[in-house]
Amino acid sequence: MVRIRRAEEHFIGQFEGRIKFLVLGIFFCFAFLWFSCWRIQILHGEWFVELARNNRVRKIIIPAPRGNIYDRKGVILADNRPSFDVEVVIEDIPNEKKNSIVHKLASILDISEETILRKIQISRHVPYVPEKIVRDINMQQLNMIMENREYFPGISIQPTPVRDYRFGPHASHVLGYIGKLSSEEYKRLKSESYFMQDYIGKMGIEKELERYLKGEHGGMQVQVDNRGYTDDILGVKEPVPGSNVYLTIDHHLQMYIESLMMDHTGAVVVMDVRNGDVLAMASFPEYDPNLFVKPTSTEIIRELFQSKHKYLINKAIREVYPPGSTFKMLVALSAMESSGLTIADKYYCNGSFVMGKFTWKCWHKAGHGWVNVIEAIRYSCNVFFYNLGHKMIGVHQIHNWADQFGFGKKTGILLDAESAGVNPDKTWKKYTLNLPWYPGDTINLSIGQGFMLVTPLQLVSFMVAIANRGELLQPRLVERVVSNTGEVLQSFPRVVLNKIKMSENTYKVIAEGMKEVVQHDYGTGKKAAVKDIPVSGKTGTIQMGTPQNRIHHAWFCGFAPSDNPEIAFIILVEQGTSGGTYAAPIAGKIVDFYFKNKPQVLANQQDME
Amino acid sequence: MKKIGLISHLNYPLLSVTVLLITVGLAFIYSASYQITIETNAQINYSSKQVVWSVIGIICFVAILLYGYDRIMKLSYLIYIANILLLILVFVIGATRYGSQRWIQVGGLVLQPSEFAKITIIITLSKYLSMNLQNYRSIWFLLKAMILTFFPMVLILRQPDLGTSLVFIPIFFTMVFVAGTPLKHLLLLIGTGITAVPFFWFFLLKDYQKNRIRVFWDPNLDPAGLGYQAIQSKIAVGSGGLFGKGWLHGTQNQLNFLPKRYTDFIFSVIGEEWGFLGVSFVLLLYFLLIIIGIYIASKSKDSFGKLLACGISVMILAHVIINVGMTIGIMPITGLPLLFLSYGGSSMLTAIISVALLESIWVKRKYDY
Repeated sequence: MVRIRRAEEHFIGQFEGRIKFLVLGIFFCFAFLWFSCWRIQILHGEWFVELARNNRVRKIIIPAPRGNIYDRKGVILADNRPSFDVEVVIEDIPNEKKNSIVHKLASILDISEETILRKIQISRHVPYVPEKIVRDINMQQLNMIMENREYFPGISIQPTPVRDYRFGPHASHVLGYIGKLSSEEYKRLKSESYFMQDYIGKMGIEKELERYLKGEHGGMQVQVDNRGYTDDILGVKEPVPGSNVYLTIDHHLQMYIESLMMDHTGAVVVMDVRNGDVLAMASFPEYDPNLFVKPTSTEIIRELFQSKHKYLINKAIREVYPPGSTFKMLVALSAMESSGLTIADKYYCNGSFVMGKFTWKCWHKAGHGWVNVIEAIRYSCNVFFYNLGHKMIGVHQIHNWADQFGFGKKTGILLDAESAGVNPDKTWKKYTLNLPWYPGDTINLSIGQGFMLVTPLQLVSFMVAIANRGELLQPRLVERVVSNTGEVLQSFPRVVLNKIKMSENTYKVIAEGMKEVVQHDYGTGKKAAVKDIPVSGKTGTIQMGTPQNRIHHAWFCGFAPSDNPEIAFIILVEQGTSGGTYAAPIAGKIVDFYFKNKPQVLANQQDME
Repeated sequence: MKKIGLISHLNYPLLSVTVLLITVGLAFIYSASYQITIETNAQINYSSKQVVWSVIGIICFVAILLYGYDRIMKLSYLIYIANILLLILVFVIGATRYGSQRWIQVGGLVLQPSEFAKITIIITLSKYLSMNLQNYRSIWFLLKAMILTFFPMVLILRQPDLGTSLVFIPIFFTMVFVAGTPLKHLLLLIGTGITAVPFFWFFLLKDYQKNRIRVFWDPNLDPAGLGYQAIQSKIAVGSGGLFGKGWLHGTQNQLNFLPKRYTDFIFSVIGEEWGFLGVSFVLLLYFLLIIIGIYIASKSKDSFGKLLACGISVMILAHVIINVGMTIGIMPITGLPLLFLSYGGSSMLTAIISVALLESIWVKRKYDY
């Protein structure tokens, strides 16, 4: 017992000492906890306030619907439709549920789980920014996801307006297409309120009038809960829809031309002679711009960009060709205006033209006999023009006149990637090829072969200028841009590029030649003739490529009606061996269609006013 | 009727601090489960359930006070064995939640024997140590106490419940320390313990527990999963600032960013809605509670009472450090409730029983009944 009492006493003695250490420890622990709370709540408090705000407040972009594109009569060519897109915010998916969500989603959307996982990986790069998994799901998929919403935390459906090109490949080279911003574009444009997944016009009107069509994105600040569901809307900025663009294109005419050219490659442009309106512009083959908006396989996209068919190239303004015989009017015109050529002047065509040891052939081997300028145009006699070019005028003069008519220069049409073509002369050849100009070059040039390169649009402008007796108009593709509130933001007046001095006589001779091409019994463009409407025109057949690998393209250009021209046109059929056979009939049908449907055109225009 | 007299001998500061803590707890369980209450049309209302548990707690409080801690001492080993059996029973009929088997359902009540095991081991160690004080110089004095602690601790660790079993370590060391074990024995034991850490890491800890510790070092290892809780809790507390966002107005809380917020993470809600001032207030209450506990230990008339009061104080301290520490990111996340504040019947009973034992020691100091 004594021992126990002594142990008890010893215990009490040391206990008082040891609990002092304990109390010290308690003090220390609380001081540390208190300090830690102070550190995160007061010292770093603002940082955590910011984090909590990021947790609950999301900025959702409300994309502005892109402006519509109409034809001249108000037919909608491009507008917007809702697309239901599946989006993911990875931070909102509970980790343990990730696999089951991906699995279920893959079966509903009928895509592989790897695709979804890859999108989720991308989504990790920027926290809390939704990444689209699949765009444009169908109604059945939409219903299945919406009904099982609670099983899909972090997955949401976002209805977004997407571009809808109503008629598919219709007028696709004029309209162009839109595509997602590339990363360079995003870096450049994010200050101009583009967002990362945004679309931008990449070609055609979509690109040229991007600033009008785009509109202004709205935004919404929402408070979300831990599953990312909207709990409260904190503020909304409504989007401003893009402005509407009215083209000069005539939807029906364009449609008809497309049906004519369906099986060909080439280009067609129809212009209103009086004001330069581009009534139709088509390049073949066309492509469907919807492919860039819809989910499209990369193979198809790659095909569009890399195919030898050059689907995305607008041949009417981008590709250059020798003008061929269509250039003969220019040579004749310059000879009459500058060198005193009259209809009395004749040259003898025996089927070829010899200069030194070289021989140039006329397309008609037997020769055309004695021909004057009107007959030379009617028959498209090469020898006459060889003589003209070689003996009468020369390269300098041809170059100057071609320059007056806008060859070698861009027309300035409101489309991207227009080519200037080549209007050659001595300096040009020296500069680009470092070779002197040979007389043979002039001979080739006088029938539109050789170094001369033009776009179909330049040729049709040339036609407009002839029909207008020398007034060269800028092709007008856009009539006006109208804001969503109806305010006209920009209108596009008739622009005269050049007034070419041209005598009445010269006009009459050239016009008569072109008239006879179609209306004379032996004219080369007889197949362009239309009942009731006198058509004027000129065929052209051009040779391209090497002698071993020759290809021929067929031209037909002209205007109608002959006496009081309203429209001018250019038809290019690639791989067509003769302008008279391949291109002229199409021109005839276009003229016929245009004038048959004209009353309707006028009536509609009156309706609009 | 002699027992009525003990009312005037109660330690009222201790009682007030307890009542304040429980009140704060109820208020924040209400706030933390507010959205759940709304969503379920008040079918589930955790704060009123907690009121029921508090009432049961008060009954226990009165019962223990009337019975007296010295009589409980006599039953120590019985309680110890009963608790061990309950812990074994958990493995047989226990309910599994969140991947661990910790609960026994009795009728409508769900009990967590590991919660009571903490009190049990304190009572048992107090009894053992106070009965063997004369052997304090022997290494066996220490080792036998360790073996007593070891059984319930391993059983709990196997449930698995890392947080609760961790609490046993400070309890054990503090109690043998104040019982007078020679420091060299203690240092020897601690040294052995540290060498055994790799053994624990490779053989005893389950993968999910290891992951928790890994994520503790770097919560961004798994921001949507394990680290999520750590990050969100820290954001909640930190964004509270000085004054907090106001009761029922914490965005982390009300928008459901904080998991387990009415149980283990109740402190985050307090931090968010009441700010640094509220946090300081709550910490002050705990500090007072623990210091009063130590004061009672120092005033107790016998060695059993002293050891018991010390053990209880340290247990509460350990809970506060581990729990508050994990909500502010200075401790790994282990499923441990914050006594008095967290929702949960067993932890509420544990808390109230602890206070009842302290009161009993205080009263019996000069007023025996």
